[in-house]
Amino acid sequence: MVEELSFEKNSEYEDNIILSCAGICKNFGGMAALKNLDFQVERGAIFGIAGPNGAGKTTLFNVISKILPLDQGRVQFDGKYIEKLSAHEVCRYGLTRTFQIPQIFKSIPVYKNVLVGTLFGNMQQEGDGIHNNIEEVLNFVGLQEKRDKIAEELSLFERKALMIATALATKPKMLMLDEPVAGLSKIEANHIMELINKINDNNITLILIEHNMDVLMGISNRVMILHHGEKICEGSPEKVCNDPTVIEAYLGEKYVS
Amino acid sequence: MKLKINIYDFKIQLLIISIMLFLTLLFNDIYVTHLIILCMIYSAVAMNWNIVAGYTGVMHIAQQPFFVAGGYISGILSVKLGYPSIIGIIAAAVIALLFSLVIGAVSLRVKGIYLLLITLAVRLIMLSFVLYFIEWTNGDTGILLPPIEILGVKINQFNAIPSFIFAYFLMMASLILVKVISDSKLGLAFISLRDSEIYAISRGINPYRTKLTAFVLSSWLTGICGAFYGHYLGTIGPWDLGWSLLVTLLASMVLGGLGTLYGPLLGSFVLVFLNEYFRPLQLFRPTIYGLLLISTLILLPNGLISILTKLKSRFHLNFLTKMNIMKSKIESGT
Repeated sequence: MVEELSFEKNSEYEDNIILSCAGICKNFGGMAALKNLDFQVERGAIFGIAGPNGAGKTTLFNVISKILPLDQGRVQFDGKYIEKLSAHEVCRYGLTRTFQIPQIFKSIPVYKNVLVGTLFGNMQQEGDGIHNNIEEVLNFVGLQEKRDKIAEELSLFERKALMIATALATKPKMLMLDEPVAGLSKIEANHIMELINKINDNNITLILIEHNMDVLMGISNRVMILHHGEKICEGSPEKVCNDPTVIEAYLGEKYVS
Repeated sequence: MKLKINIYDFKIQLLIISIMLFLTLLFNDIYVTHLIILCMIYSAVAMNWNIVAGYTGVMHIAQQPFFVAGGYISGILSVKLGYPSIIGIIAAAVIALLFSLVIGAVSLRVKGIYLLLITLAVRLIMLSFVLYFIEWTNGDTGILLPPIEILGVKINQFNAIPSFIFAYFLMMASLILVKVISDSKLGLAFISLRDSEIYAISRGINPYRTKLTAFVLSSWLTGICGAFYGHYLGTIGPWDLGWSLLVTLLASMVLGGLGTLYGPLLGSFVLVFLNEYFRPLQLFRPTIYGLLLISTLILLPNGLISILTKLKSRFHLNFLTKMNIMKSKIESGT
């Protein structure tokens, strides 16, 4: 099942930008979930996305990873336009994501879950390399003791870690994490945060959706705030925290001093 | 040399099943042998169906058309065109494969109830084709098929032993096919699509192509089974596209255990023999049959095969507790 990927080459490719989205629009019926959104992510960054409920954060992930079709706009990833690829090709090209609701392959053991990512996410790997890669990834996320457990028996924290492990097994260039610490205890959330930093140390660019502003501001180098499908603010965490439009979107008009 | 028998070894399991099947020949009862042959054919079809419905999680009902198409192709080739029956059987496999490729390419673009409806339509379209092209299919009367002839041995219901062996090989081939697929890279793709399609796609699995592969892999042996079924019973007709055969095949798979290796095998044997057991009830037979089906599905949602898995884990647990008690006794020095 080896497939040839066809890309359009882009001449104005800048080396330090890994993902560049221009004029992204997505409508659900008459409702616009994303309105003409532009943003760029630098290579090696941790890029945070926040916003109130229904701001279009998960929709943005879905259209970039091609789970949902894009209505308008261009997505350029690692020098190539990817909006014409299917979802599985986007993954094979090095852009992998996790889901807000933890997804697992529930009927197979943990190491086979990771094997799926290794075998299909990155078609180049063969032979002993696959086995080593699985062990390496399981050690990396700290699931090596659970490797023979059926995935259905895992706790929420372990499920989230496993989802990140399968994503890492595809050897991505960029990883999109959709609320990785939602529903976890403080200690577990700290584990995931450490893991995110460790992933970033391995030269993997990260985009992070997070509701919890403290967590997001603590970890990201750059933050974008969405509101009703539009970008209302983008910049360093300090700048975004003090931006009056952001405070208004989150807390209401009367808190803007 | 020490002979070690491991019951979890697939070859040993095949051996046990084979011995049990061939022991039934000792009854020397032509009717029992006939039932066993039917069981083996139904289980072969159900096992192939299980590749798509159980392992890949794509529920469809086009397996019966593949099965009946095999019977008709072999019938038309051997009766209307005068080819040897073995050519008919090979053609049945090829045609079933192409048929499934076309049906799959069209229907796998949609999911769930829509897929079920499309495959239901396939059944109805096939029925009207059978009733329309009377010069080929004999319409309502059905085709009367000659026995299969391999090396001078005639295979039909009046030659129990050769038929038994043929059906046995079909069943074993299906069992091995399912086992090989479920252990392979492809099988892993099937299972991941079943467990979470959106997640599998986002980990690099091409959903459409993988499902189509499952569809095509499951059809060719079904075609051969259909051809054998026709030659064995001596007829194939529009009644084979009816609900009764569909329900028997579907129930063997679901009752036995969807997505399990031995589920469909167990299911078809239980169903065929229950059906015979309740024969004295005559008109009430379908009612009893239905009640049993419903109660099994409620009490054992993972199929009859889950009884075996439960027994296994209970036995294993007992063994472990005994070991622990012994260990503590030894440690305390008594």
